[in-house]
Amino acid sequence: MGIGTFGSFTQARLAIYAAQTGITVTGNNISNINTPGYTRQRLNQVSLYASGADRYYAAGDVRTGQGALVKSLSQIRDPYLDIRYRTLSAKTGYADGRLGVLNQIQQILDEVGAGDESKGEGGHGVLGLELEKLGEAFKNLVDQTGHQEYDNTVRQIAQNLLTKLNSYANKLEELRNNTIKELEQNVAEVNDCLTTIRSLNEEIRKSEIHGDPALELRDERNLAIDKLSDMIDIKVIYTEEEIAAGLKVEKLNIYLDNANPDGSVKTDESLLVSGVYSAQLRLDQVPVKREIDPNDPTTLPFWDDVNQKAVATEAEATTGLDGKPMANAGYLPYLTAEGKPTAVLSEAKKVNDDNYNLSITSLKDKIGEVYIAINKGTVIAIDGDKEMVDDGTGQMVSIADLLAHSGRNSFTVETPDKPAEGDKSLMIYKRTKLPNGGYTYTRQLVTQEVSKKVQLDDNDLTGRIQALREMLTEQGEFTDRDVIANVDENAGGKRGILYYQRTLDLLANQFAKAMNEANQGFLQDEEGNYITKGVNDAGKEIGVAITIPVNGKDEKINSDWEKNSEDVQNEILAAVGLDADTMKAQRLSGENVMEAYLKGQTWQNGKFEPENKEDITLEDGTVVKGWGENAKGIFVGGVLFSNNPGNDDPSKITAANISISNTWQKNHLLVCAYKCPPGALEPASGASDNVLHFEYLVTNQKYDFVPTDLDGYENASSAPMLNGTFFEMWNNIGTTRGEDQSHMESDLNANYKNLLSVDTSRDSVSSVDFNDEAMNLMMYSKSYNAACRLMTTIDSVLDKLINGTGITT
Amino acid sequence: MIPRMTTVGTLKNYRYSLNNSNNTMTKAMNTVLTRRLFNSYAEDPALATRCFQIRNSYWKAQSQLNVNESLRHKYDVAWESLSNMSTDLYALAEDASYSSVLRSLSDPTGPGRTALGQSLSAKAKDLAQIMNGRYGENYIFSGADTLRAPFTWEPYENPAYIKGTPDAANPDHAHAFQYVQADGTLTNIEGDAALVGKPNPNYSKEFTDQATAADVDDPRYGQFLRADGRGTTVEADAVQIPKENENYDPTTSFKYLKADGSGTDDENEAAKVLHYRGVRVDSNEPDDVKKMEYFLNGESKYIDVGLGHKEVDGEVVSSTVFDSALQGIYFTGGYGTKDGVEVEIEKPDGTIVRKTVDNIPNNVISVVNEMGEILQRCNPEDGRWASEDDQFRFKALVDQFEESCSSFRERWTEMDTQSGFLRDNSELLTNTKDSLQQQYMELEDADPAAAISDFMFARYCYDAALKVGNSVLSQSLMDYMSF
Repeated sequence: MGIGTFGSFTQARLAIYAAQTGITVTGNNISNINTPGYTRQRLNQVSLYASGADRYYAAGDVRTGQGALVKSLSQIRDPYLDIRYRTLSAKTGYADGRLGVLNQIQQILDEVGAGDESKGEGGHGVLGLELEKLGEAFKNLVDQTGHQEYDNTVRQIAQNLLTKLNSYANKLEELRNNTIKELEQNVAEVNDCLTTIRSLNEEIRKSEIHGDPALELRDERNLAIDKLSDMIDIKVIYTEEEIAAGLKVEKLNIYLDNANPDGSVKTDESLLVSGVYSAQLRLDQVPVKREIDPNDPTTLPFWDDVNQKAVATEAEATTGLDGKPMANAGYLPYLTAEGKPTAVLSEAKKVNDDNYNLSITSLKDKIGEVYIAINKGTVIAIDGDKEMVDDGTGQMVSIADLLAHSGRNSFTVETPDKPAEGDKSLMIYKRTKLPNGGYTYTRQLVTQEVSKKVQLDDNDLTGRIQALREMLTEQGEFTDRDVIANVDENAGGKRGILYYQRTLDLLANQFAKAMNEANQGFLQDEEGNYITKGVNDAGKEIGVAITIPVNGKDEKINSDWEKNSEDVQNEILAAVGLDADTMKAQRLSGENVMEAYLKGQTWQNGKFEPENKEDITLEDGTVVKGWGENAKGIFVGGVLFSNNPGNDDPSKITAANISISNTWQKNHLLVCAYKCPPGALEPASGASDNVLHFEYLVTNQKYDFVPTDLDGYENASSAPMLNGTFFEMWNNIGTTRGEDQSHMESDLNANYKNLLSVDTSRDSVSSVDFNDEAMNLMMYSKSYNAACRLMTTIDSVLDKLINGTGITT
Repeated sequence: MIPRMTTVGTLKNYRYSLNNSNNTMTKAMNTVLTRRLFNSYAEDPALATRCFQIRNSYWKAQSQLNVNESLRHKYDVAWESLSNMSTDLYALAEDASYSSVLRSLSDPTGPGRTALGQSLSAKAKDLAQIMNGRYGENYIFSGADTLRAPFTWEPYENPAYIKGTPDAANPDHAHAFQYVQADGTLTNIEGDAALVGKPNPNYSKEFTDQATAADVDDPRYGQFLRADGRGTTVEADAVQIPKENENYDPTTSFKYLKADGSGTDDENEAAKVLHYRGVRVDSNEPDDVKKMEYFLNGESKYIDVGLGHKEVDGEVVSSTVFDSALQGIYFTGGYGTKDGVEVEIEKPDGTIVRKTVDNIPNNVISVVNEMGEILQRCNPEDGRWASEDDQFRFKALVDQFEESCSSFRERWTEMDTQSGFLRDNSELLTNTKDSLQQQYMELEDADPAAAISDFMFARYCYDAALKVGNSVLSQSLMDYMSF
C-alpha cells in the first residue's frame, strides 16, 4: 500500500513526535542522574510499515515505510551483575557489621599508644600498666614491709586496676546492649524492605497488567533489594505469572541464598517474597522464667507426693501414674511485665532468646492472606485400564472406566501424601482423545503448600544481620561443647562481644582466686609445721607446733603434704572423713585436706563443711555453724577481692563486679608472711615471703586460663586458652581482637572493592552518562530539525501541487 | 568489550578513590602526630603484642632497678655502719689505756682499769647503737625483723626467779627454801627447821684425825663448834643451829640480778645483758640457740632484683632472688659462749698459771661489755682484780676480742662483695632497661623523616585527587554542545 497524499505529513509528524519523545527520555535520564538506583531508560522506536495486500495491485507500485513509531520505553540492566552485586553485598554487609562492632570493642579495650605521656607512661597502656604497677607496688612492699603507706599503695593500685576492669566490663555490656538494639533495628529494616518489595511488586503487577512497564517502580524495588542484600543473603528469581489466558506478568521471588555450609539444611533456602506475598524476619522471643528458689515452692516445677512438698528436680519428684514425674500444681514459672509470677505463658513477659535465633513468618499479602504455593509435578502417561482410583464411594475403579462413565475428561483425587500438616496434595487424571477415537491417559501430582513459619538454623544467614548475631552470641573457646557438636562446628573459632566479656571475666576471676588464696592460711614455724598458741616454762605465750597422735606418738603437721609421713597423712585424712582413694577421686590436694583439717571441717556432700569461719545466724534465727571449736592453728589473712565492695564473698567474681573486699577496705589485710621464727606467734616484722609471692603471682606466675573455670561454663572447652601471666592474658585479648579485626578489615576491603567493581559494571550498563545523553540530545535535536524540515518540504511540495498545478500565466 | 564508563560510575569510583586518598593522608598524618607506626592492635597485631611484651619487660627492669637502687643505698649505709664499728674497734685496740692494761694483765695499774672499764662498757653500748642503725624507717641489721631494733640491752633476768609463792613440794622450787625440816622437807621458817651442829669453819680433817688431847683447843680441831668457841667432833655438843638448804639461792624472789649477783625487781638496777631480737646473745640455752640458728641460717628476706625470680610449688628458688636480710648477730661475731678456753697468765713473781675458763661470749659487743664490767670491778684504788677468776676471764675475753675483730673484718669484706654485686647489677639493669627501651622504640616509633615525607606525598596525592575530581565533574560533551 502506498502512502497517501497527506500520508507524508503523518510521516513527518511521527518523526517529530519520536524525536520529541527521545528528547524527553534523554531529559529524564539527565534529570535523574543523581537519583539513587535510577536505571537509564531507552526509547524503543520502530519503523512504521503498513503491510497487507492492496485491493488493486499495480506493477511498479513502490511501498515505503510510513515513518517512525515510538513503541516503548525500556531499562537497561544486566541481571547477572545484579546477582553478583547482591552476593557480594551480603558478604560486605557481614564484614562491615562485624568490623563495626570490633571497632567499638577496639575503642574500649585497645591500649596501643595509650598512657600518660607526662608520667613517662606513654605507650605502656592502661590496664596492662596497672598490672605492672601492682607488681611494682608489691616489689616496693617487699622492701618496705610493715609500713602502712606501702600497704595502702598496693591497695590503691589494686583499686585502680579493678576500676579499669569494671569500666571495661561495663562498656562491653553497654556495647552489647547497643548491638542488640542495632540487631533489632536491622531486623526491622529487613522487614521494611520485605514489605516495600511486596508493595512494589503489587504496584508493578498492576502497572504491567495495564501495559505500563513501571520502570521507576522497578528502580525503587531494585534499591530495596540491594539494601536487603546488605543485611541478609538473598537469591532473586524473576518468573512469570499467568494472570489470565495469554496474559503473563512478571513475578519476583526472593529466597535466602543457601548460606548454611551444612548441605542437609534446607531452611537456608526459605522463600521470603513471592510476588505480592512476603514474609517477615522475627527475633525469637522467650518468656522470662523465674529462678529456682528452694524456699519458694511456686518456683519448683515438680512434686514430691510422699513428703507433700514441691521439689526442684525430676529425681526428687514422685513418679505419677503416667510414669512421669509429678508436676507441682502451684508452679508459677513465668514473670509478667509487671514482675508478677504467673503460670500462663501468654501473660509472661517476653524477651529475646539468648541465641538471638531468627525465624521467618509465613508469607502473607497485604490483607493478611497466607500464601499457598502450588507445585505441579511432571505429567506422566499411564495405562487407564490399570490405574485404579477410589470413585468417591469407597470402590476402586480404573481411571478409564471412571472417566468413561462420568463423561468427564479429568478427575482429581486428594492423596494422603502431603508435604506437611495443612497442605494438600492432589492427583489429577486426564484423558485425551486420539484421532482414532481412543484415549491416552495421564496423571499429574499437584501440591498446595501453605506457607508456614520457618525456624532458621544458626548458620542460615550471612550479611549484616548474621554479623550482629554472631557478635552478640559467639563466645569462641567459651562455646558449649554441645553447640559445637550439634549446631556449629566452627563456633569455637568465632568470637563476639561475649567472648571478650568472658575473657575479661576469666582474667578477673583467676586474678581474684590467686590473690585470695595467697592471702589466707595458717601460721607455720620455721620448718613449715603448722603452729598454735602454747606457753613456755616462764608462762609466756609462744608458738608451738600442732600435733596429731599417730601410733601413740604426737607428730607435727608440715604444710608441705609430702613432708608428712604416710601415717600422718592417713590420720589427717581420717580426721576429715576422707581416705586416699576418695582424695584422689575428688582431685583434692594435700594442702586442701590439711586446710580442712585445721579449719575443723569434714568431707560432706562433696565438699568440706562447715564452710564459714564464723557462726552465721540466719534471718529465721537458725545458726549455721562456723569452723568452730574443732578449728586448730592460727588463721591469718582474708579475702582481698570480692564480688561486691560491701562484702567478702569471693564467689562468682567477674570483671564487672570484682571489688576490694569490705574487710580490706577497712583494714590492713595483706599477709606478708606465714613463717614465724622459732617459738614466735607471728612472723618477723619485716618478713615478706608472701609479699614476694604476691609479686610473683602478679608478674611472673603462668596460669592456665581455662574457660570451664568460669561459673556457668562447665561444658565449655576444658583446654587452656592460654598458659601465661595476667599481663600475657591481657595482651592476648588484644592480639586475638587485633587479628580478628585485621582479618575482617582485609575481608571488608576485598569485598568492598569487588562490590565497587561490580557496581561500576552495573553502572556501565545502567547508569546515566552525560556524554551518552549529550549525544542523544544532539541526535534527537537533529532528528527533530530534520523532521521539521521534512514537514516544510512536504508543505512546499504540496503547496506547489495544490496551489501551483494547472495555473498558467 | 570496552566498559562503558558512565558519569555516575565515574563519580562513584572517584568518590571511593578520593576517600581512600583521604584515608591514606589521615593515616600518614596520624603517624606524624603520634610518632608511632601503629595505633591499634589491628594495624599490626603481632608487632603490637611484641611491643607490649617488651614494654612489660622494660617496666619490670625499671622496677627491679628501683628496688636494686634502694637496696644498694641500704648496703651503702650498712657498709658505713660497719665502717664506723671497725673504726671503733680499731680505736679500742689502739687505745693507750687498753694497751697498757693488756701489757700488764697481771700487774695492777691502779684507777686506770676502772676508767677503761667504764669506757669499754660505753663502747659496747656504742657498738650496739651502731648496729641499730636505720635506712629510712627500717633497721638495717635486723634480718627480716626490720621494724624492731636488733640489739637491745635487757635487764639480766634471774634464771632462778620463781614467780609467786614457792612450792616446797616442787623440786624446781628447791632453791627457794633456806632450811630443811627434820623430815627432809624444805621451809623458810627458821623455827620449823631441823637443828644441826654449827660447823667449824677452820675444820681440818687431817689435823682432827691425828689430834691428841692437847690439840682439842686448836681451831682446826673438830667439825663443829661448841658454845665456848672450841671445836668438837660430837655434833650434839655443838651449838645447835637450823639446818640450812645447801641449794638455797637468796635471789629467787627477784626478777633480775644486779652486776654483783644480788637480786632486784627494779629493771634499772639490774645488770644489762645484750639481746639480739629478743634472744640473749651470750646464751647457750637450746631454745635460744635454735632461734639464733634460724636468724643466721633459716631467715631470709628475698627481693627480686632481676635474677630471674622463680617459684617452684609456691616456694621461691633462692638462687633467683637476692637475700637482703642483714643479721647484726652475724657481723658482730655470732652468739652463745665458749667453754673450756685455756688461759695462762704470768704472776708478778714470774710464774705462769693456767686455767680453763667457761662461758666466754662469742659476740664482740658482749666481749667488750664484759671486759668493761670486769675492769670496773677492779679495786678503784690499786687496780687489783676483784678476783683471780676475773683476771683469767679478762685474759680469755681479750683473746676472744681479737678473734671477734678478725671475724668482723672478714664479714665486713663479705658484705662489701654483696654491695659490689648490687652495684654491678644496677649497671646491668640500667643497660637492660635502656636496651629494651631502644627495642620497643625501634619497633614502634616512626622515623620522622620517613613519616613526614610519607605525609607530604599523601597530601600531594590528595590534592591531586581533588584537582582530578574538579576535572571529572566539569568535562563532558555537554560543555561543548552548541546549537
